Amino acid sequence: MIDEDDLLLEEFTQGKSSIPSEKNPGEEDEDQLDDEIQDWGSFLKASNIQISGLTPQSHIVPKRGDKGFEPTANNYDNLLLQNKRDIMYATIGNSSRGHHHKNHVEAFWSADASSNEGEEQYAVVPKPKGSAFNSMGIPSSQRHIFLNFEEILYLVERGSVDCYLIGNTKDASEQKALPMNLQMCYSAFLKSSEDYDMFYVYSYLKRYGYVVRRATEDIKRPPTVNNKKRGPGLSTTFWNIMFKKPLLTVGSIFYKLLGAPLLAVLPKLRVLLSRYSWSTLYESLYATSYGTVLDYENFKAVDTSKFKIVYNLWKPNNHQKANTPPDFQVIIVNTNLTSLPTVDEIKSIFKKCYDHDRILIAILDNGMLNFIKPTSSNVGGKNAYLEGIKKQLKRKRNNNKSNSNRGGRSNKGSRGGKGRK
Amino acid sequence: MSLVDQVKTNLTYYNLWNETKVIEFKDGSKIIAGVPPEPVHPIPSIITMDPNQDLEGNHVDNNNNNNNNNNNNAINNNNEMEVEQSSGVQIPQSPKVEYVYPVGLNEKISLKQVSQIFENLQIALNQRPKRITLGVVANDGTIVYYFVHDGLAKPKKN
Amino acid sequence: MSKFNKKRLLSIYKNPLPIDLIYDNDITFVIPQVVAHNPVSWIFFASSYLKNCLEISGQLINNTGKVHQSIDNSSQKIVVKVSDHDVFKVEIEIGTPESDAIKLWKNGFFGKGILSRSEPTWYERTERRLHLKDQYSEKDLTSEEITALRRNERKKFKQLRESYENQQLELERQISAIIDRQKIVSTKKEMLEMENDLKRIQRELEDLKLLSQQNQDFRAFQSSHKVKLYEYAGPLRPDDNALIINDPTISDKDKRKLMQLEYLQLMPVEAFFLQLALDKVKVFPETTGSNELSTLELFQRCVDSYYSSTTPMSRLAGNEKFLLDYAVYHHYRSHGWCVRSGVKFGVDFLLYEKGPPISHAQYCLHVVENSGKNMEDFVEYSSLNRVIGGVRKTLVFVCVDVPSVSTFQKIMEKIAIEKDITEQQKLWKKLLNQYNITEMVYRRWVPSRNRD
Repeated sequence: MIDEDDLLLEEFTQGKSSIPSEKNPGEEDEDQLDDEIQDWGSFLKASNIQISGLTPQSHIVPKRGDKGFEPTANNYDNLLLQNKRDIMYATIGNSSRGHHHKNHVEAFWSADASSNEGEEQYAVVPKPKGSAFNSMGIPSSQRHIFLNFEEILYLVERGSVDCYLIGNTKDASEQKALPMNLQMCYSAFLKSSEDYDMFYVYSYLKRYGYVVRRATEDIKRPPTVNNKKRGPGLSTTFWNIMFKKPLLTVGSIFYKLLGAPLLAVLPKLRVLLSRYSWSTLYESLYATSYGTVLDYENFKAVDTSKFKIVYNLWKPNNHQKANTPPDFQVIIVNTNLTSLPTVDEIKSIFKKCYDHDRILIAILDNGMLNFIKPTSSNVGGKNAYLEGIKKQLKRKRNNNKSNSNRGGRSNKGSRGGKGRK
Repeated sequence: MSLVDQVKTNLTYYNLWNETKVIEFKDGSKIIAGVPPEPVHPIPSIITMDPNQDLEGNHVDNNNNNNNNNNNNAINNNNEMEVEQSSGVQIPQSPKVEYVYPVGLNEKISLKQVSQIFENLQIALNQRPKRITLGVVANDGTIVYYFVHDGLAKPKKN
Repeated sequence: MSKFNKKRLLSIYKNPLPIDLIYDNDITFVIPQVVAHNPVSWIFFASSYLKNCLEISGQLINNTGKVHQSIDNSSQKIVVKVSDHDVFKVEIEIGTPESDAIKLWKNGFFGKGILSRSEPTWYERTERRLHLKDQYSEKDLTSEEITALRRNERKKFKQLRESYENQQLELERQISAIIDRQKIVSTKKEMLEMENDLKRIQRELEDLKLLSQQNQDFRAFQSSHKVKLYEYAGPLRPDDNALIINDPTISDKDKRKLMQLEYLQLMPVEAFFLQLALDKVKVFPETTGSNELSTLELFQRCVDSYYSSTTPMSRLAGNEKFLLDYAVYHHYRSHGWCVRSGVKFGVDFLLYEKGPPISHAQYCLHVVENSGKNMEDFVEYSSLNRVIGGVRKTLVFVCVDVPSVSTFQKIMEKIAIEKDITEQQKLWKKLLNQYNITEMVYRRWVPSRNRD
C-alpha cells in the first residue's frame, strides 16, 4: 500500500519523474517547451567546410535533460562549445546573405503624424510584394498597404522590409526619405510599455506561424451556440429531474418522491431515511451552492477594462477564407501592472467574448511570456463516489453481456463503458 | 502538545533523529537541535551576505580568533562539543547537528525573524550555523521541513 | 499495483464515510434500463421500482426499532480530544483492529497518524524497527517502510552513477589534453598518432555513455538490486529505550512492550464535519472533567484554531479562513470526494476519487475568497502550477463567495439561541448554503503545440 502521491512528489523533487503522463494536447513539460536548437552541423555537411578539432561524431547536440549539473573541471565542455561556434560561424560566413532585389520592399513612416494624439499611426507600403502581406496590414484602394506599428516593426526586425522616415506626409517621394535602422524603428514605433508588450506578444506568435490580427471589434457570437443549449422539451426536463440527476438509484428516487412528504410527518425518520443508502446519505449532506465559470449567462458582469482582447489568432492553416472566426483571442496581462483575472472577471470576459473556449491570456512577466487558458472544471458538480459506483455497475453489466457473448468482444465492450461522458 | 513538542516528537520518532533537545533562547523563542540518522543534504558552499564571514562561514574577526580556532578544531576532529548556555542547557554542536525552528502553518515568518534565529544561535554556539531548518506544522499534524541557508546556497544534485 | 491488489483494497476501504447504513446495498438493485420512447421498458421499470420501494419501506419499518437505537446510541460516537494547542486527537488503541481511529481511517480516510505519512502505522513499524517483533512478511510493510527501501536503493543507484560520471570526466580530460597538445606539436607522425588517440578515446566515451544510459533508469535498477530494511540490530537509542515498558508479570519473552506514542490527528474541518454533518464524534477539551463541546462551541474553537487569539462570535465576519475551508471541505465531502490536507503540495486540499492507498489524488484545491480583491500574483500561481503539474495533478482554484456580514451574523445568532437539534441543523445548512463555490482552472497554453 504505497502512498503513491508521496512517491510522485519525491520523484518530482528529484527531477526523475518517469510517470506515464496523461497530457492534454498542448500541455507539455516546461523543459521541452523551447524551440528546437538549430543544428548548424547539418548545414555544414551540406556546404563541405572542414573544421579542425573534434571529429564529426561528437557534433550531435546532447539530448534534452542530459544537462550537466555544473561546469566540470576539465576543458571538454568548452571545447565542444567552441566547436559548435566555429561550425556556426563557418556556415554563416561561407554563405551569401542579403535581400534579393526582386523581393525588396520599402515602407514609409511619417515623422510628424504623431502629433495627432490618440490616433493610431500606420506605416505605408506603396508596393507590397510577397505572401507576408496576405495576412498583414490594411489594404487601401490604391493597392497600398498600411501596417500598424507591431507589423512594421516585426517585418523590419526580420529584414523583410526597409523602413524610411519621411518628414512630410503629403510627399512620399523616396528622395527625402531617411533610412531607419532597427534602433530608430524601436524608438519611433513603440511609444509606451503597453506598445512594447503588444509587439512582444505579436512577434512571438507570428514566429510560430500564427496569423495575428488586432481585435478591433467584438465578434458576434454565433447564434447557433445558444439555440442548441436552450429550450429542452418539457418531457426531457421532467426526465432529467426524475432520473438523470444526480444518479439513477432507487434510493435517491425514493428519497425525492417519498422522502419530503414523509419527513414532514415524521421528523425522526429523517435520520433513518438519510442512512438508508449512500445516495440518500449524500442527498442529505448537500448544503453548499456550486457553480462553474461557465455559469455566466445570468451573471452581472464586472468591469473588465483591464482585460481587453487585443489580438485575434488563427492557426497557420486556418486563414484561407475571409470571415473565418479566430481560433483564439488574446488578452495581455503584464504582471507588473495587473494580477490574474478573478473568477468574476473571467465570467465577465466569457460573457462578452465570441467563444469562451477560445480565450487566452498572455502573461508578460518581465520579459518572460507565458500563455494560460482559463477553463472550467466540474469536479464538485458530480458525486465522485456515486459516479464511481455507476461506472462499476456499467462495467459489470458490460462484462456480463460480453461473457454471455462468449467473451468474443469483451475487451472492446468494457473499454467503451469507461468512456468519458 | 505545543508546536515545539510536536516537532520534537516528529523528529525523534518519525524521522529518527538522535539527541534531540529543546533550546530556549533569552528572548523566549525555542529551537530544536538534533542529529539526523544520516547527513541530510550536505551543507553546500554558501555565498554569505555577512561581511564578517568568509566564504566558508568562518568569522574573520580578529578579536574572536582564538575562540574560533578551538571551535574549528573541534569540528575538524568531528568531536561533539557542547556549549553551555545561560539557561544551563547543553547545546550540542558538531557539523552533524541541525537546528529546527518550529512554526505554525498560519504564522507568517519574516526575514528579520530568521536572522534573529541565526543571531541567537551565533551567540549561543559562538559560531553562526550555515543553515537552520523550519519545521512547518500543518493543522492535520503534517510537518514539512524547509532549509533556510545563511546566504545563497548551491542547489543539491539529484 | 496489480488488479488483484486493487480489488482487495477496494473491499477493505469500501465505505466512503464512517456511517453504518441501514441497508448497505446500493449496488444490488439493478434497475432495468429505461428507453424513453419504448413504453414497454417504462412498465418494466415501474414495476421493479415499485417493488424496490416496497422493499425499502419494509426494511425501514422492520428496522426502525433496532436502527434507531444504534443511531441514537451515543456510545457509538467516537471520542475526540482537543488540546490547548487546538490539536484534535483520536486515541489509537493497541491490538484493537477496529479501534475508533482505524474506523475513521478505513471509512473515508479521516485524520492522519502523527508519526506516519497518513495511515497510523507507527506502532507496527517501530515494533519491527526495534526488533520487538521479527516475524513479518513483505506484504505487511507499510508505505513508509517501502519508501525507506526505495531511498536505500536510490542511494546505491547514485553511487553507481557517480562512478560512471567520474570515468566519463577522466576521458573528457584526456580528450581536452590531446587537443591542447595538438596546437603545439607539428610533425605529421605525431599529429597522426594523436588523431588516432583522439578517435579511440572518443569511441570509449561513447561506449561509456551508452553503458551509463542503460543505468540511468532507476526503475530498471530497482528490479535488479534488492536492499534490506532493518539490518542493524545494535543497542537501542536512548529515545527508543524510553518507549519500552517492561512488564514483570509476563514471561520473559514478551516482557518488553512498546508504548503507543501515536494518535490520529483530525484537521479542524474534519472534526467539525464529523460532528455537524455526520454526528459521528463528540469532542472534549483535553483538560480532565470538561464537558462535551456543543456544535457551536466546536465551531468557535475551530475558527480560533487558525489564529493566535480568540475572536468573539459577534465579531466574526463570515469570511474567516476556517469558514472558507469548511465550506469547500463540506462541499467536496458531500459530493463523494475524499478530501485531505494539501500542505505537502502547497495547496489547501487534495481530492482523491477513492483514497490515498487506492489511487493518486487527481486535483489540488487552492481556496480563495471571491471578494473582488485581486487574484494571486502570477509568480505565485506559476510556481504552484509547476509543482502540481510535476506530480500530474490539476490545480483548481476554488473561489468562495461569502455572505454579507449581516446575513452571516443573523444566522449565527439564530443558531446560538436554537435549542432544538434538528432546527439548529437546518440553520447550519442554511448558513452553508450562503457559501457559493466556483471552480476555475488555468491551463498552460503552448503556441508550438497548438498550431493545428
